[in-house]
Amino acid sequence: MKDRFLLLLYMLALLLLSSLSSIKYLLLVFSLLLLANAVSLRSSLGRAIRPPVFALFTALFISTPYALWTGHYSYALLLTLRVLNLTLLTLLVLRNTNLYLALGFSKTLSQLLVLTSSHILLYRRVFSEFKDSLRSRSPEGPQRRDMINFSGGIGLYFFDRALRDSEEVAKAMKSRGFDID
Amino acid sequence: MIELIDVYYHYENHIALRGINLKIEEGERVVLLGINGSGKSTLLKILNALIFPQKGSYLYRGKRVEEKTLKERDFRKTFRREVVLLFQNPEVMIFNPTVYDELAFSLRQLGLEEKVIRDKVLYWADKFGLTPYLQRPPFELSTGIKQKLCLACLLVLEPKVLLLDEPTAHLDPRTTGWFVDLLWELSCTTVVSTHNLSLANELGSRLLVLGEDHTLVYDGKIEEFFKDKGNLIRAGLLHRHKHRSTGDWHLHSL
Repeated sequence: MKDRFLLLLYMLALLLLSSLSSIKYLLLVFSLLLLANAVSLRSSLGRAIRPPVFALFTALFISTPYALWTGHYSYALLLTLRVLNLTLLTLLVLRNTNLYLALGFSKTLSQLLVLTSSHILLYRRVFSEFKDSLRSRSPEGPQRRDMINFSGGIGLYFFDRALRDSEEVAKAMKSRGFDID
Repeated sequence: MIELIDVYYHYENHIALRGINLKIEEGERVVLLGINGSGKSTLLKILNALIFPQKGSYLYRGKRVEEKTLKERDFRKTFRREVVLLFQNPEVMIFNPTVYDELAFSLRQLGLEEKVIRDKVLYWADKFGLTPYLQRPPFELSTGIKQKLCLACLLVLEPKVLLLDEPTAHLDPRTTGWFVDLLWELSCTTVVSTHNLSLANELGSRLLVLGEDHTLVYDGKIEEFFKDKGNLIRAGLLHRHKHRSTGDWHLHSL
């Protein structure tokens, strides 16, 4: 119940943050979310701010050219702050919510979540094995040509495997009663 | 040739190896036995210098193997050529566009002439029955053929130490038989991990057993180990189940 409630709150907060257009309030929310993330991680603010740095780069990549082109600097700042806030909020909720329980009310969403998370965990392990095997088989250290072949090869592998695995996991879930057809 | 001195290794939330001491001489055929999660793969990764002991040391031909020494070009080149690892999942060793390129991958890095590479590739392809597949993308092959290809990719380097992580796990009985015969034909030092007791006898003459507590619980001749049922119990290699015909409980090996 707690997880569903948190998920509902999260969705409402998403709507609220998306419609908030005061930079002053967005900055205030940003500070609060940063603090909440640090508390949740039981760490310093420095560690809590690391994940949104990537989001900041992405946001700046889009908003900076827009601001330079149109001269609407305050709007670019507003967009960047919104992206940062949404990222921090999402991380905070993901860390404190059991998504499996939260999405338990919908078979479709549960199935989607199981498919996604099982793929992520499995592929992360396989990718690390691929990297180990490249190191192990490279007496001279991989060259540029090897890296190109390697990237292409594993890209193809994961694409092919994703198709096969999804089918397999979907069948397994169907046999356990998650029938959404 | 290989020496581990009081080696410890742990992952983020569990220990994998605890105080491992062992010496392996040139030409030895070693079988590494243990239940799932006992640390067999971790030990093989340490021997292949993919990870390094967090405590203790690993010596190869008297030289300490650590991140720093692996950065020395000459040592890395010799080590990676001489000590090779067959991964448990053969698919992670395949990433080249054709079977030919896969076999030539490590040889090309050694800067050999293309003709020499070609001769070696054709020799090993023929030995492993891979000639018909040379121009095919390797990921399209069946699991058994992939396993053969991965082994051939390692043997083209003419290694001195062959590490094999559960090499028969994906093989059918016929290919397993072929594999066991091939293993005895090779002249290099071999370390083969398995949890298959019935196959352990066929894969080597010296046995190392990792226990559930991640320590080395046995190091000696294979025949001696199986004589004492206590050894099997200590290593967690015996299980108990009810016999269907009589309803009695019996102990069985894995």
